[in-house]
Amino acid sequence: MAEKKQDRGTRKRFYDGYELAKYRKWRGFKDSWVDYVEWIKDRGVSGELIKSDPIRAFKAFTTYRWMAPYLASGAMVDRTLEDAEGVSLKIGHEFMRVILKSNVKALVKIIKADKRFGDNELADKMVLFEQITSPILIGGFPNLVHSVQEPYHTILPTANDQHGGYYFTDVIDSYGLPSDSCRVSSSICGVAIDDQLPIEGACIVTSNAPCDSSVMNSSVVARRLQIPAIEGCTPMRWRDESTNEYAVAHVKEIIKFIEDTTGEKFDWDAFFKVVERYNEETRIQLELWELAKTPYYPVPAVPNLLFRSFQLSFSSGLADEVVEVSREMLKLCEECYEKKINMRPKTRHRILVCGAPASYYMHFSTWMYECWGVNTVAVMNNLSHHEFISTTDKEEALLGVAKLWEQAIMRRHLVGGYQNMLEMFEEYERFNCDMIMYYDDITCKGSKSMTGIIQDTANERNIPLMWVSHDVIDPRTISRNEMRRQFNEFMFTVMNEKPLDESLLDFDDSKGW
Amino acid sequence: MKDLKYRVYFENLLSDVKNELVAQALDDGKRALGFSCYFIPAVLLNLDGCFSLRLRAPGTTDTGIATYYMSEKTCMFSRSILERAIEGGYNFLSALMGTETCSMMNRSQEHFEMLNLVKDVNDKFYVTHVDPPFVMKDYAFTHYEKQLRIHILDKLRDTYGIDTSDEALMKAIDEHNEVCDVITEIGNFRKQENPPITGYEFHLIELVSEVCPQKLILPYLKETLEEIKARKADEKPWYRVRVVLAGGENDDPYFTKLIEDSGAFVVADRYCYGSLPGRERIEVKPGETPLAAIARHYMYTSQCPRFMSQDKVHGRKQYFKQLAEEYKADGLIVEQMKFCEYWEYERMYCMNVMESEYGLPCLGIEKEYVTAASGQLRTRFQAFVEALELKKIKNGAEVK
Repeated sequence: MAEKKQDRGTRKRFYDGYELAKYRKWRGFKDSWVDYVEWIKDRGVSGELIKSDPIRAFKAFTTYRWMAPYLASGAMVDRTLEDAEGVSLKIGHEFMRVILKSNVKALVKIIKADKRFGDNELADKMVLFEQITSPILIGGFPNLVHSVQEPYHTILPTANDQHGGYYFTDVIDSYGLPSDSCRVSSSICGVAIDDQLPIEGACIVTSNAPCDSSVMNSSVVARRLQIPAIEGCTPMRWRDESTNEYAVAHVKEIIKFIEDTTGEKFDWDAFFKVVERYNEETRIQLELWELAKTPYYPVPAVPNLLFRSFQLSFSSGLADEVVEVSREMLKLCEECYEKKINMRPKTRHRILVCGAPASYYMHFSTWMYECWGVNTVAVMNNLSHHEFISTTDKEEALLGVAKLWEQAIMRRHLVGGYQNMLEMFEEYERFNCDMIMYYDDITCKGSKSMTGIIQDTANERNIPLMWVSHDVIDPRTISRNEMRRQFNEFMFTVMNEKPLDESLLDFDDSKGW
Repeated sequence: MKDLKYRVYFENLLSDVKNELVAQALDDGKRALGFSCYFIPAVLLNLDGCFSLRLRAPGTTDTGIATYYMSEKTCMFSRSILERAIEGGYNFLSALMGTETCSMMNRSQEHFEMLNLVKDVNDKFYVTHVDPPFVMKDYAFTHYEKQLRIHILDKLRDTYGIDTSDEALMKAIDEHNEVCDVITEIGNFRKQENPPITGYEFHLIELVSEVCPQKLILPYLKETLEEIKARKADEKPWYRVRVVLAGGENDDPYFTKLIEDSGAFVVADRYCYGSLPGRERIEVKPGETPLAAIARHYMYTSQCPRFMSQDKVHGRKQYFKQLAEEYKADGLIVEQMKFCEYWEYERMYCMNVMESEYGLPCLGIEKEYVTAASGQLRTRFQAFVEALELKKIKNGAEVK
């Protein structure tokens, strides 16, 4: 009997249908040891989720459906580092640990503040930020804590377990929302309607980022939470300077609202300190991007994507460890560049990835590299806000906050004019790419309505552009394997190439995490 | 009832974007200014030397080229407008006043720029984008007013030499109010138990007032008003129930007709391109500039689901209820263009809260720009009519 493709190559260590490995990947003695030690450390970090308050944690796991997928976080980290070795592995682990630590901290905070499990003071000191709104303003309220809603209930659970989020889209579908509506926004409504939102927070800052559906889901969330809410709705035409005055006035209104609802006063000194850290995060990021333009950039694709998203949307200068780890990792990257060490030796193509990725297949870039040698060197979502915010002028600083919100992940490119979408072609040149992949979120109206122009522009410039469709958090609509099939088809027919690892061409992981 | 004198004439005016009145105004040297969203105050486009034209794409069958550009998973209205533009159907426009309100409509407007549409026949043609606010605050009014000044008035003045002075604006407001008064008076007949007008006829009247040069259509509207005043209604009301029709973009009178053919009289038109809101008088308060009055008026009257502030969110449902009471409606139909995310949410919301919290039975409908599948829709409307009748019977009312 002929040997199945999956019986050899990278895929052979996995059970068919699952992401479950029969054994850990052998990376040579040193790398395997590093990987194993880091893996153990990660388990220790994850353990904090239980250790910090075992009773509340138990209650949270048994109350909230979105909690269970976090148990698979170890597998998620493994998936993102499948393609890493040497320095890349080290950097990948460090980046992922920052994310893991911060997520654990955030979840612990959510659990501890939840009034469903008993009254507590933390709940009334918590300011909720909806969607992907940067919580940077909370830096000016050192006595308050923040919690970013939505990602922890829908996107991150799906990233940990591909089956972790779509239950909530089913809930909202059965409530009457058409399933063509953006799944990211609708899933949080499902969480709200299913009464799966923690009961906490002194107030919430809702958001109009990134698109129409997020404008609309805000009212569902605000209505369910039944706490004072203010709309965080900065202008759409963010390049139009005539909108700045309104943007600043609105940020001021939000500060006043938080002051009024919590009784706290905005502390400019504390705020500027956080802004300084944000600026430092941005400065390091800009340097990393410079290195990413060369072949000697060692950061693995997925940690690169996730760390930057985390920094921009969740930290924004608030998480201490981000700057520290970023600095250390920058040093490692610079060493690689100086010594001309290519940590991505399988690279045949340098690809720019655009559009919102599928939460249920965050590690798609890992597969692209392993199977086809296609190295993700830049991600448009990562190239969102990257301006420095004033640390001296109050008005300028508030405008900076508004710009940060206006140019949040996805929002920077989706709204404010078609030119923002077409920025991808400039970035393509800047990062020395030779391919573009567009994550075609089938529910994203802002990008779907640009498909022709994007394709035409790519054709005019003779750029290989592929579309990979997905349904953000629902792998039942377009499975991971279907996404791979689309990619394979393009590589075979347009690029006329053969895979590096045939075992990865077509396999079933539909039942896996 | 006897047919309205201008019913067929109005239907013909609606069958083409560049209808005979538009053509006449263009021949007179007037500039056609296209727009689609309520956040562009039509009154600003009706200054001397130009006229407003709310974009439609009547007779659309295929949107093949627009679908290539915008994909099939976007609002068909937006695609139909683009398709018509690519065909050259809007080549007579002097400018397109866009808004970044619905993302798909905004993209459709942006395609005018990206594909360089109209420009080859009118090199002065431009597309501009207003950024309306999401909340009702003082600074939001200021922002909106500023946006209207920069993106509409200043551009019209600089490009086409249009007089945008306060005096010119006051004149435009007066003329606008005159049209509004006529439409409102006609619309008020719908409040009667046995009205001398149908929802379909009113839809025609309201639409022609949106897509024809105001000055040219006004005499017809006035004459129609007099005709309706004198019109004798049938002995018994023709309808079985009365409904408020709400929703997103709806420029298809045949959709209204479909509902009415099922026995439901559309007494109030609270949808984009409808008269509620849209035909209220603009009042200029003492000490207020005309532009500020216009900005305030459109911000206050807008019932767009895009408004995020809770007062507006709840106010919209309250407004449905208020209309139902004022127009004695038995139920509410909320229509939503497929893929319209604003109205997807609003429809979902209404279907779940209007009856339980406001006591107003609600039917949610998803439709395409071109009313295909009318059989299925008719069945749903008929079922809704029967449900409303049953409710009336339960409440002891006489059923017609």
